[in-house]
This record gives sequence, structure tokens and C-alpha cells, in this order.
Amino acid sequence: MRHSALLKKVVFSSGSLSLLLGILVLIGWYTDTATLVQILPSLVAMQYNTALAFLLCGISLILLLNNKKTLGIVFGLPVGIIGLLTLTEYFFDVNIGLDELFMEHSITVATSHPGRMAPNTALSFLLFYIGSILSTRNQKRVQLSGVLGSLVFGLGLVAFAGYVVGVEAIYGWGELTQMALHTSIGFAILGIGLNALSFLKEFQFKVNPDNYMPPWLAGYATTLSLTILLIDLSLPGGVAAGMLYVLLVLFGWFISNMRVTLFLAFTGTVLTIFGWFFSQTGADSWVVIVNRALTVCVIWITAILLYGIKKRTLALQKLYNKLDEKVAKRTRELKAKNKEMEQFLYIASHDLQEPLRTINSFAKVIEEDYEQELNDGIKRYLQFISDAATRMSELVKGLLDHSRLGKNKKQTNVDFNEIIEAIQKDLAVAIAESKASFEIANMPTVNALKVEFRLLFQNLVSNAIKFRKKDLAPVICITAKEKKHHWRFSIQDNGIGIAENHKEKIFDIFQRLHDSKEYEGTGIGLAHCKKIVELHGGNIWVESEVNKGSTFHFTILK
Amino acid sequence: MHKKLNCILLIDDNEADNFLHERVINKMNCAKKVVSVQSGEAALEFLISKGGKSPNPDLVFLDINMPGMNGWEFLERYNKLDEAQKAKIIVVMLTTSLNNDDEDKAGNQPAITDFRNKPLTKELLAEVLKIYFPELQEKD
Repeated sequence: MRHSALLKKVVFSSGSLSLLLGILVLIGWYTDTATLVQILPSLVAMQYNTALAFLLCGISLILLLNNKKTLGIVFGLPVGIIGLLTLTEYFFDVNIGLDELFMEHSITVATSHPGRMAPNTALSFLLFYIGSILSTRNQKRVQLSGVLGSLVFGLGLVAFAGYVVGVEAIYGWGELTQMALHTSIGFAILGIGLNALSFLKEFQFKVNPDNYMPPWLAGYATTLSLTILLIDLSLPGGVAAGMLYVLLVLFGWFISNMRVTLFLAFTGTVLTIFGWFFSQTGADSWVVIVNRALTVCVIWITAILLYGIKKRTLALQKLYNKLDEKVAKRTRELKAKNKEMEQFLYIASHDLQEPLRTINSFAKVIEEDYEQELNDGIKRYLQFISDAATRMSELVKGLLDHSRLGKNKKQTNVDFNEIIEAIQKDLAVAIAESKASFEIANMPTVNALKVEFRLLFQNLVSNAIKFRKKDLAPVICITAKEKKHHWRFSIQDNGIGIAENHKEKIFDIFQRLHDSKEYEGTGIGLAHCKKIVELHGGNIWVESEVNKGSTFHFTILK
Repeated sequence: MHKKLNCILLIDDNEADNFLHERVINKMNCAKKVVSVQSGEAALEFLISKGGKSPNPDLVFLDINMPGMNGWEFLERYNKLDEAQKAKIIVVMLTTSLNNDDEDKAGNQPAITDFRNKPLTKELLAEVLKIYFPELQEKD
């Protein structure tokens, strides 16, 4: 929508400027102010009809912008008629009295018929009027109006360029009246306005981006070829201006249709041959023939190369799309499988809990109900049964917790300072018993799963306390470092350390390095940590030396 | 002798659980009658057909995870019963904590009074009685 606000401004400015230009020049004609009419005495004047047409074009454009379709077309109608009639006059070489209908023309610099606008001016007005009608119709026609807008812009710009580079043939067609300097600027402005109006109207239709070819591209291709032709015509036949058609062929790159390239090359060839007949004389005919032949060769070599490149690109694009589809399909399958696995794990661990609890409960019921009758042996066996069931229950719960990590949860902004404070409270008893001390750097706030990170720090800190040396109070140092794409956290202890060959193993599920009498636990804590870190696109690893302590590092993406 | 609940209904497909829960209730000696059924259908049948033979249960312990008609399906049918046939308090007994789907379902079930984790122990029963049947305590 921001685009359409901008486009509206462009259309409005274009209309207003055109209106202003028309009014100024009309004032110039009425008050005999030559500066307004021709700018410089040596230049051609903007004819009265032209100024009138600019005025009407400006009004028409603003009306169309405000959706006053009929009124806009009515105001444009005289413009179309003047354009068409003037062209007819040129074509049939007649004078129907239109040229000086409103004003007798005293200024006739570079004017073939007094008061008659230049043929390119007349053409531009006609194109503008047709474009403005098309802009009120369906999508295809609106697109076409964009093409016409870019053509009008192009005609204006080409003429203006002619003035800048000083090639008269560009703004004047042969001996006929030339397009005035401010007329050329006026058309550039009007063309942009019509182009913007067309974009604006096109937003009202749904555009299919796959098959979309910017309509103005065709307009600019035409403008380009026209400019080259005019340059070619204005130079002696022996000068290789036709070579510039290569640029035209290159337009084919931007259009996905393969044949467009060949069509453009064909157009270039036709224009080159056309240029042969109509160029300025001044070179030997063999030079001209060699030059034109070379030009056509270069155009076709370029076209064939471009055709080849486009073919390959298209093939690559197809391959890419195919791969993309394949990857998407595989991903879907994997996701489904993963979900199935998680579901399986959840159900399995959930359903395993019930029989375990029953075993445990009945071991206790036997003890309670038959206390008198049981001898010590049976009591011991019952204890084994109960312990085993309890332990298995813990393992199954560990699996269940593991499968549930990060499930159906959203990341939030988590202040890691708060998390560490919280787990220090949770572990208060263990910290007091072990006389553990902490050195904690300032922690960042990171987008993460809060509960999961609490669990992670709890696991790492309680490990640091659990695996302490017997004769040394644990010192736990927690730091965070900001890197380019991630945060790196480190938790250092002065505990018993981990042997080199165990550094990978400890992150596997249910992997334990010590028997449960020495250090209790199920061996799932670090597996939880690994899963949590991986859920955040990070890594976890350990640096350690036996008897010196361990440092657990983990990263999470920013 | 202290005041007792008229009837407690246990709904659980697991015979062992029913046995254990019945044992706990009997040991506490807090109900005149304990009825245990092994399916939702059986529970509905009991609630509908007990007629004058048995009092309405004051307290129901319901297992969710049952084959055939599960706890949720039972509750749907239960809601359509006459008020006279309904129990006072329904406590849902869970094997593990609720997952998200279950939480949504639980939110839509006004019939549920409370959720507790299995197994039903002396302590758990005492707490439930204290919260939902305080009159038993006062006259104790």
C-alpha cells in the first residue's frame, strides 16, 4: 500500500506539471513571450496546439487518478484528435487548417508547416490518449497502457537526449517540424505519469508473479531500438552504429520466453538493413555492406549465445525446482516420521509407568499386610523388586521428559541472570551441603525456551556440585560471550574431571560413568542438555582434565 | 465412629489399581460402600440402574486411560445423565501429568472437580476428603 501512495503522488505530480507546462506556454503565445515558447531563439517553438494538448493531458491524468473515467477520457479526446489529424496531415501532405486554428504562428524556427506540431509530438499525444483509455479497462489493457506510457516517456527522453548530445536527427524527423526541448521534457513527465497510473491500476488485479513480464520492458525495448535507429540514420552508413542493437538483444535476458531473444535479433537485423537504405551517405558502398554484414553477424552471435545461456538457465531452474520439490517432500515425510516417533516414545513411556507402579505398590502391600510372616530374605528380595521398579520408572520418566522437551512451546525473551538465580535457589540445599561458591558474569537476555534452559542450567550446575572432589569445595564459574551469530556460555568447575575418551559419550542418553552407589542419577541429564541446546541451533561440548575440573560450553543462535 | 461418605465409585480398567485404591479407602474407613468398576460403560450402568438399591456416589475417582470408552468419553455421556444420577465430586486420576491436548479437553469439562496423580495413597485421599468434604472432619 505504501507503493500505491507513492504511485498516486507520481501520477498527480506528472499531471500537475503537464498542466503547468501547457498553461505557461499558452501564456507565452498570448503574450508573445519567446522565452516561454521556444526557450532559446535558435530552438524550435512549442506549438500552440502542443501546449493546449499538454494542458488537457494534465487534467485528464488527474481526473483518471481520481477514478473520473468518463470525464478523463472526454478531456483527453481533443488531444487524441489533434494527434491523429496532425499525423494524417503529414502522411497525406495536406493542410486541413488545424495547425493555426487557434493561433497564428509567428515563430517558425525549424518548422516545416507553421503551427503544426512535430510528427513525433503528434504520435506521442496519440499514444498517450490511447494509453489513458486503456488504463480504464481490464488487466491486459492496463498493462498495455503501461507499455504506451513507457513509449511516450521514451519518445520524450530520446528527443531530450538528442538535444543533449546535439544530434538534430533524434528530435527532428528529417525536414519536418522538430520536437521542442520543453515538449520532450513534457512527454518524459507524462510518460512516467501514465506508467505510474498503469501500475496503480494493475494493483487492483491479482498478478501472477511466475509468468509476469514487466509490461514497460517492451516499451523501453521499443524506445531503445528507436533511439538506435535514429542515431544510425543520422550517421554515415559506414559507421557501425547498428552494433548497438546488441543491447536490444540483451533485453531478451529479462524475459523468460525463449523466442523473445530471436525475435529481438530479427528486429535488430531488420532495422540494420532498414538503416542501410536510409542512412546518411558519406561512405563507400563496400564499407557500408561490410559494416552492416558485421553488425548482423554480431547481433546473431549474441542472440545465439544468449539463447544458449537462457536454455541452460532454464534447465537449471527446472532442476532446481525439482530438487526443491523433492526436498520439501522429504522434509514433510521426515517431519511426519519424527512426529510418529515422538508419539510412540510418549505412549510407550506413559504406558510403561502403569505396570511399574503396580509392581512397586504390591511389593509394598506384601510388606505391609504380611509383615509378621516375612523373613529377612523375602524382605530383602522385595526391596530389590521395589528398587528395580522404582529405577525403571525413573528411566521411563526420563525418556518421557526427553521426548517432551521443547514440545509445543514458544521461545520468549529469557533473562539468563534470572534463570541462574532461580536454580541457585532450587539447589540451595546441595549448595549449602557442598559449600559450593559461584562466580557468575553478567548474563544476556536471549530468545529461548525458558523452562528448558532452567533445566539445562540445573543439570550442569548440579553436575558440577555432584562430581566434586571429596576434599575440595566446588567453585563454579559461569560466563557468557557474545559472538557474531551466537552466544557462547561456559560453566567451569574444579571437580573430578572427565577422561578424554568419555567426552562424547556423556551426552548420550542413559550414559553413566560411575556406579550408582558412588554418584546417583539416571544418566539422562546431559542428554536433556544436548537436546535443549540443539533445539536452539547450538552445540554443547566439554573441555576437561581428569582431577582438574571440567568446563561445559554451549552455544545458542542469537 | 466418625461420619462416613455414603459411597465412593472407582473407575479404572486396571484391576490391580482398583484393588489398591479400594484397599486404601477401606483402611481409612471413610465410606460406607466402595464400588469399583473396570470400564466407563459399567460405571454409567451403575449410575443409571442403581435405583434405590445403592446411594449416589459422593466421590468418583476416574481413570482417563482406559480401553474402549476412555475417561473423556465417559464424561461426555455422564454429562447427559439426570442430575439425580450424578455424583457430587469427580476426581480424575492421571498416570502422568497432563499433556497439552488433555489440558484443552480438561478445560472443556465442567464435571471434573480435580486432577490427581496416581496412585491413590492415604495422604492423597485424606487431602481430597479434607478439601471437598470438610463436614467429615468437623464431626470427626
